[in-house]
Amino acid sequence: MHTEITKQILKKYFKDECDLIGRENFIQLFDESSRVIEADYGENMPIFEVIGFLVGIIGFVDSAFSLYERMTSSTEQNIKSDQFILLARKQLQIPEDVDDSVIISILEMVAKDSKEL
Amino acid sequence: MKIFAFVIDIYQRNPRRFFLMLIEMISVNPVPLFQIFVALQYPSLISICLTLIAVLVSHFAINCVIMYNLGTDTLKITDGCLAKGATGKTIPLHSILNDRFPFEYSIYNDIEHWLFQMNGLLNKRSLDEMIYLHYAPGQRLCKAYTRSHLFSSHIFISHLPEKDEAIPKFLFLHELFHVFGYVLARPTTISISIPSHLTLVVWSVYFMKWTSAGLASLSMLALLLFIWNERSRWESQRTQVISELLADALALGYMTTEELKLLRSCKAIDRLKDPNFSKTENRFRIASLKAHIDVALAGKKDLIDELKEEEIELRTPPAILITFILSVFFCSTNVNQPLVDDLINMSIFAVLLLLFFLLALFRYMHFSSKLSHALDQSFPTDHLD
Ligand SMILES: [Zn+2]
Repeated sequence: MHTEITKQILKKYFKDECDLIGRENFIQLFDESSRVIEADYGENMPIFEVIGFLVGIIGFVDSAFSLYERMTSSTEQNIKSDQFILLARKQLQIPEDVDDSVIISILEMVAKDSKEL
Repeated sequence: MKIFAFVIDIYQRNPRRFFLMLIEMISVNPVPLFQIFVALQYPSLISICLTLIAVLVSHFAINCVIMYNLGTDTLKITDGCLAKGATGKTIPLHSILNDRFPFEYSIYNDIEHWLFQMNGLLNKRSLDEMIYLHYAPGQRLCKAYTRSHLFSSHIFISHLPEKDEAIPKFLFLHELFHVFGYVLARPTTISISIPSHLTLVVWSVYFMKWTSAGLASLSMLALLLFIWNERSRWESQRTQVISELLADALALGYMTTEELKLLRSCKAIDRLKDPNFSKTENRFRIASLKAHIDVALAGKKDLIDELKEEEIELRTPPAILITFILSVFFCSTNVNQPLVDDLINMSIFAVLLLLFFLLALFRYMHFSSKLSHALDQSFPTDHLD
């Protein structure tokens, strides 16, 4: 897991969304012990949509990290950020309603963090 | 005597509204009126007895459906949420409002006060009994099981707003203020009208003289019943958008200037989309929310206060109601004279409906005790303070 960097990404690019769902919900997004109850019927409150959106971003960051790992394991050479971003945008499912520039910045952060490890 | 006090209370509040309510009530449940028209043509003891039975029949038909739906709604909470393993505690609303927003503890009293203002004597229960809040930390739950305003709603959330969290506070209050939405939107009207209109169809077909005039008046009635119900359906969709705007505006009334500024600068409010609304409806709602925040920030909170003073009620246009009542009248002029046999048949009909109602009532009571048992187990009541 890349919890710290994911938290950084959320706080940097989705600060308003984090403020909207509140601290308690934010902590629960990363809490391993929390279990998701998928309740039926009733109405989902609008805040649920925003929580779902952030869950989508976390999934995207996760899959970007594993893509990077796969790329490094298949070649001996260093991977350039540009190469990674190009492939990631082709292969990964890009979250809806997010600016392209933000997607690129997130992928850059993922590439930079992976290199440092 | 209570019912008279209630009727006088509504009349004194607003006579015009009272009369509109009266003809709307008649059009929701027109069977007794139909039978009164018949009794005026054929005055007899049988006709008078049949009028009483008409009142009972439509009453039982309506209550069968209400009870059945109520039972199903109750079952949905147990099966849809509690059976999935949700756990936590039930926190009385006054306890949360007292603990989290101590300077605005009056929110609780205010909501109760307005509910009384709007509903009059109809509203006998405390807000704590109208909305049950179930706190389920760590389970990503944000569900509202809302029912008619005459019955309790259950809200499940995995997050309680902190004192300094402006936007979660706003969203929390918004959900609470939806209790007004139930009062205004009257989502029950349509579920009442369908069984009573079906009863009217059965009743008028039974007594109909099968002449061309009878057929014509019956088809006109059927057409108007269809229009009436389609309109109610369309109307209840439209009231949903308005009830969102109203809940927003009422919640804004309890935000400080600092909190309003935070809310206005939060770009994420664009993401608060209601999946039940169309794209345009969602855009309209967000734009209105922003406009209302600006109004509040400009120090014109009284404009927002006006919203809750105003009687935002969407009713069927009087023209439709009057045409409808006229068609009930025309239909009633083409019936056969009621005989003793008819009285017996209609009594059997009433008894059958009563039996169905009792079945639905037992079903509801069974599900209801199942729900409260499950809630005691998974969500015991606890106070924050
Ligand atoms: Zn709402």
